[in-house]
Amino acid sequence: MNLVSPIHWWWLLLALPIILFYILRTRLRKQPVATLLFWVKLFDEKRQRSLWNRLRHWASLLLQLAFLGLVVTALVDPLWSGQRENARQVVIVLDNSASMQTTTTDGTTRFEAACESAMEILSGLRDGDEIALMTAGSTERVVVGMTDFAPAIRDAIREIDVTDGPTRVREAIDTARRLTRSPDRREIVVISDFCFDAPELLDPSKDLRLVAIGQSVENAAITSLAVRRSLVDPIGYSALVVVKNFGESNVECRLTFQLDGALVDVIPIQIPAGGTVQKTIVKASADGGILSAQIRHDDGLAIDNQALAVLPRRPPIEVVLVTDEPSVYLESVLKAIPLVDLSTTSEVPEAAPENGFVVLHRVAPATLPTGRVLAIDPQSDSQWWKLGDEITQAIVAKQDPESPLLPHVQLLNVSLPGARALDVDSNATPLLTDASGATLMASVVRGEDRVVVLATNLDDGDLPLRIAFPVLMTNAVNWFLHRTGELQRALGTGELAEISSAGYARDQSSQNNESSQSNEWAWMDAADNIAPATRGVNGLLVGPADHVGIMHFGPRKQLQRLADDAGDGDRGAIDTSELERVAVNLASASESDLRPRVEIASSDPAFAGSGRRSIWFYLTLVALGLIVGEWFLYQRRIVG
Amino acid sequence: MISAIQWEWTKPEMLGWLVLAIPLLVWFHFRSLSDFPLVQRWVSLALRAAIVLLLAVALSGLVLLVTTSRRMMVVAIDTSESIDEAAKLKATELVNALKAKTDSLEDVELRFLTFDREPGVSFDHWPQVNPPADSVNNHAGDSNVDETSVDENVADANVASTIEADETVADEEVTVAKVDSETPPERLGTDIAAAIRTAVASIPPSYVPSVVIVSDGNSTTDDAVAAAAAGGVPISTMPLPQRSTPEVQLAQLAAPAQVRQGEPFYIEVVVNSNRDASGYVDLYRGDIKIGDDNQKPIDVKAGETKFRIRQSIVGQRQVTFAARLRGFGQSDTLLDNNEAMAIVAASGRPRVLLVDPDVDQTDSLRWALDEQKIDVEVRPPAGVPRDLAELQGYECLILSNVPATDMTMRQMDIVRTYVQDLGGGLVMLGGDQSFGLGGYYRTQLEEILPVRSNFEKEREKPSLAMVLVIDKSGSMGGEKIELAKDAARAAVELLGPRDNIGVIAFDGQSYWVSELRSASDKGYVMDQISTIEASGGTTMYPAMDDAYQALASASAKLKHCIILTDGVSSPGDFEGIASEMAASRMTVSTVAMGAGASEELLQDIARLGGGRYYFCDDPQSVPQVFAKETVEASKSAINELPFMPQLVRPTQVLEGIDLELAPLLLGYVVTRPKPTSEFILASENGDPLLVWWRYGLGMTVAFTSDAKARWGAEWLAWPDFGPFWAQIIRHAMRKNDSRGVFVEVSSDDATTTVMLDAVDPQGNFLNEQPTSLTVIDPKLKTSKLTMSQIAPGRYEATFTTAERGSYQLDLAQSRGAADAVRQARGLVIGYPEELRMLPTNEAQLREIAEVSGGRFTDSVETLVQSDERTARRGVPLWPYLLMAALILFVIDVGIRRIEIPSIF
Repeated sequence: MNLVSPIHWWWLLLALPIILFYILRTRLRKQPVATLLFWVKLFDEKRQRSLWNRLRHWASLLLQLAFLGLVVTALVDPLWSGQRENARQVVIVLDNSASMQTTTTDGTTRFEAACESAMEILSGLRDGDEIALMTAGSTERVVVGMTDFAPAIRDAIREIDVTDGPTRVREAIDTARRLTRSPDRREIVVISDFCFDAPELLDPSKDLRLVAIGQSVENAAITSLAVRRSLVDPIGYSALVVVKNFGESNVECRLTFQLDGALVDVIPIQIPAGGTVQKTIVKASADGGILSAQIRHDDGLAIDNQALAVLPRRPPIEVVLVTDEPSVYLESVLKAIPLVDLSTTSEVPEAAPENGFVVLHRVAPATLPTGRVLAIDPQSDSQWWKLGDEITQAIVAKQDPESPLLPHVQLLNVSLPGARALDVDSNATPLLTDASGATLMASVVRGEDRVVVLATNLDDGDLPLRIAFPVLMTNAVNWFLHRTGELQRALGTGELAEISSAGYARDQSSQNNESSQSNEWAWMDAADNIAPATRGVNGLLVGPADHVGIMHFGPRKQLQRLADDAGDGDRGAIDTSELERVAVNLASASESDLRPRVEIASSDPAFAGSGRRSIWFYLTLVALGLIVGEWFLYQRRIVG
Repeated sequence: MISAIQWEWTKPEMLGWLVLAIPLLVWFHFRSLSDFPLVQRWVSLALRAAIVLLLAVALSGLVLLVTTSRRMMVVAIDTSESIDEAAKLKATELVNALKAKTDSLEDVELRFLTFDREPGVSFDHWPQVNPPADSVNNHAGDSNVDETSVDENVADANVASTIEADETVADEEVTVAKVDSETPPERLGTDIAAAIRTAVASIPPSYVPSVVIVSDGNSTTDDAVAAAAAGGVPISTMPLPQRSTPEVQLAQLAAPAQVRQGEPFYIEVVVNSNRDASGYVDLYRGDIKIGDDNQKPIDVKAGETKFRIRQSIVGQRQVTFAARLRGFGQSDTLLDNNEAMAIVAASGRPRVLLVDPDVDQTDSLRWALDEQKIDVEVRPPAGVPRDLAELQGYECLILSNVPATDMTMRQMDIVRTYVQDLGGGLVMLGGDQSFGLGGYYRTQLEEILPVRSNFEKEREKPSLAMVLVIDKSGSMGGEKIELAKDAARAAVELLGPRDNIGVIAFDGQSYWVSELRSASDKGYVMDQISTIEASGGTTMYPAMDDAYQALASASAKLKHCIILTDGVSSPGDFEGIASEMAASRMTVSTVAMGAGASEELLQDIARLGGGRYYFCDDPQSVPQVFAKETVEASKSAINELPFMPQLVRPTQVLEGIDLELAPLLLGYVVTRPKPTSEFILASENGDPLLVWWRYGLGMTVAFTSDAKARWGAEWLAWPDFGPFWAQIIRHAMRKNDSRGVFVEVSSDDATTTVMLDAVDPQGNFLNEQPTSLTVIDPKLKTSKLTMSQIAPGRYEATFTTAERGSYQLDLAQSRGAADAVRQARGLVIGYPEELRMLPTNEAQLREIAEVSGGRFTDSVETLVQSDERTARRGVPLWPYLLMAALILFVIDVGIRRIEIPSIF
């Protein structure tokens, strides 16, 4: 038998004073009496028990020595055979993913039930076992490394919060396997509701023990929300929302859209059992903001009943109208286009504004501005075109059906008095031609330059009377600004993502140019936890976020200020101009499906071994009984 | 301070014993028969109660939590492929210095961990002994350790192997070997984040934790800094130098993904080297090398060297460019990173590949299609594409009179994949080498064509007697003999009931496997064929003689013999017997199976015997040869009588074509339509002339006559000849409509994401359109994915691209009732990122240290500096409590023996 502390055998020397005390037994006290008559009688009666009287004292000594022996043997801490080899290395993988927020019938959550299970496992540990604690929600995390001190795990379990993230059980199991250095002694206990994809692939036969939590619960969830700027409408946007019903009965509810808290739309929806409803709304807003979609439905999980998306702001379009002969009509048409910020001048600028274009109306510049230019009724040649003679009866005979400048524009057979034939090179696209094949309108794209030229006098014909011209101008705005449908994707909880950020790019370039210190960039989740954002290839790496809501990212100081002032509930007063936002949603069908995928039977511990407690424990327990028993025997004079 | 003392009870329920024991003690105290004075009895009770209390508290697992500054430092050492021997040596030096330093410090405990794409398990010792030499390439911290190791010793062995590798550095430096990475591809990589997580996790809570990452900082995953920030432990980083062994790598082959036809563009080749070197950079466009034959070596300087080559694409849909480094000699250690590829797609007119053995005869069809704005590239059968990327450059493949025997099995597989999974079109035109006559029976192409090459319809045809003479010598063992048996069975299947078939097998002797008998008893003959087993020598003459004798006595009008051998026969009068057979109106064809056969002799026999000679380098093609021979010998598959095409099923495809005015066709190959095919045109006999069907994502068309002078001579002058073919080919070809569709493909590590934006002609987003993605990996394995809509107008799919090579993608989006909009893309996955030669990423190492509160240093002194942090360690108190109980017990015994009043 192995002994942990054989040095404690020295304590057996305490037997010497015990034996010594036995020898120095208390002398009988002298007590003068008047007669011995009664004593003699008593002595005669007790004589027959004299043998026991002698043994009574020996028994007392033996009991005392037995107690000493038990306690000293406990002190040297003997081990069961194989106790060291059979000691387990247990890793508890506690699922704290979003689905564990599901409330059970008794009012507790799945996560609370999982914590209770973890505590039970903790109480079932044997002496010598080591244990570690991991969580598997959002990202896999080792909460407490391998230790033989169970209270540390117990305290840690109490401090774990459930996340809004997806389940990472498989990753956690991989990490758990690396945590344990002896595969033979390893036991990984996964406590989860197993609401993730293909849980049946977890093989409980090896070193894995699965503890299933929770019953099937019906749930409806928004599994996707994305909002995107329109390609054609300067202030328009489309939002796509996908709602799924993870239940056995139909769901009828209202789907509500709000933009920065203002109601945008309410759509009643019916989702069949196990079905999906996909809705797209088309709305308009120049300012953008946070678009939220919400379903009003009482179900198993609340956090997936709402999703958020960030709608980018559309900046004003700077249009510089260069003309010597102000045209009220043209100005009115341009001003009527949403977001257009029109300025009129007679000076031809060198370049078109960064977020806009130049309209040259009846002018003859020596050189065209660089960038985007719309030339109407030009008075001279340029590098892009040469003006021909005036066409006597110009009637549009053909228009390019595929040009993005001409959707919804019907100019066939429209007379354009005063039009002149345009001579353009092969790189240009003729848009309008007359019956003789003369080009009346053309577009050119070369590098960053985009030019549209319309060689007709607006005032003379009936073009102003037609709806086609304002539509043409709107198309031109879209074509110039070359919109791709800005889309800022919402992140999923637990997702690490690279985000392109204009502020970050500026910061980096200013650092490169001026060798100045760049800002320390960070991100802050909806629970005001701040973490560093790191450099990615094309932007900033942010995440993984544990909580749904709006994530801010930007210079850490501003984020800190925002977090500090959050307690005051007055975030509106804080300048967050340098901060950018991204929405974080659960958006996980596997997490929202609260029905068990497969029947997982909670399994028993894989390792059966010798006693749960060390030998010292049992020896001490016996010693405790012995010392109480000896007290009784002594007080009742059964032993001496 | 008392407030600093903390206690923990691990089994507080054990205190329950006190509830039972103490009242018992008190009860018997009052019921005591002892005659000690009361004071002494009370003292005794108090002592006994104290002992019981101590024992119960010991049982309850009282633990004292003491504050400790004892540290555990886990040193995680990068052992990935980017760490060369010199860096490993430096890592070992650092670790040894750290170990020496911490040995003198009592409050620091060291643990070690190795990592690459995955971290290993942590271990305690860093051994100083040299292990056996055969463990050089063992990988420390291999994940398999988990499965195989029994205890910590295994981890030690892993460390040992690392050390050993370090010790061999000097030798390795001297003889720089050419190394293909020995690490399996799935293990190539560096995951610093996982190493951080594992290192942090392996520290028990009773220690002050600290982690040291020893790495070059080039993580192939993104989340190293995030993991460091989330770890809550100061992580110090020590940089390892970048690869110093001589290395030249092809860092990048940059090319635009999409260009217009004829548009010039640049291919940029980026070569990285860590020293000046000289060698060759070969650039390939498809299979063709670009540049001079007398190529001169180029000099690359240490650092980055770029070359730009101007290219343009005319008349091709997709071109694969590849760049390879060679001839850098001792300057290049790793060979795996010497190649890069890029695929450039070119938009423009639809492209069709026409394969025809008579290239000159294709002009009419080519011109006609050119007029209809379809580009045609004509190639002889040798030019059938050998890889999918090349075939993807065409919307449709036309096989005009190309026999199956001119294609390999892999080529046919590629064509099938191209049609079935990538939506390509296939048109097979008739001729004396097409369909059954071309040996397509039972091939992959017959499977995808809308007609069958065999035909049950008995027509007036001469009966055939055929003898198969098959070599069964020992060299035919294994796959060869099985394929020869398959070939023989295919031949038997193709014969009609009036035909006769005999099978002779020969080795050193000749054996009748099945005597010449009616082919109506196919089952028996096939059973007999199955009994052939390979063994013995090669003596062909007796077998030929037997065949000759048997055919001579047969009454069939056509007599044919097919001889198959893979070796050199013992001598015999082969020319004599072949001539005799020819004189007896028999034909003899020969098949040489592999290069070992006496090709010259077999060619002579075939020539003299009036048959055909085949050389089958690939044994898999033997069944096609037999099938082709059988159909050809039976002379039953061609109908060469002029006929008027008959419209069986009107179709939109032929709209505007007045078939009633179509001239006569002069012949066709007899085939049989498959049940679900669309039978459009027929011969006057009712045999298929034009049949098509959809196969997988693509379309296949069978036109059993031809489009050249032999059978279609009169059609060539028909005004609708061009429109007829243009309309059929447009119907068959892949619809590569890019209008309103924008595709972006991006790859990261082993994952590729394909994104598709869809808008209608007005610029509105197209939503809820069923969209699918077909992925063909480099091994031609096909997977079909559904692209899910993630935003208005945007669809996305993600798939794994762990395999190196070129992937072909086909995106299809249904647009209502109309045909699907299709887009094809190519994607090349190059060598793993781990093999990229990168300088030490100090920025990342600094960031890891910064966000976690650690230090970026290579000073061991700095690392071991203690800090203010403390941890709580639990000290079990039960031994002390038991000791105290023992002492009290002795006093208790003493008190019973000594009367207290007597002392005073």
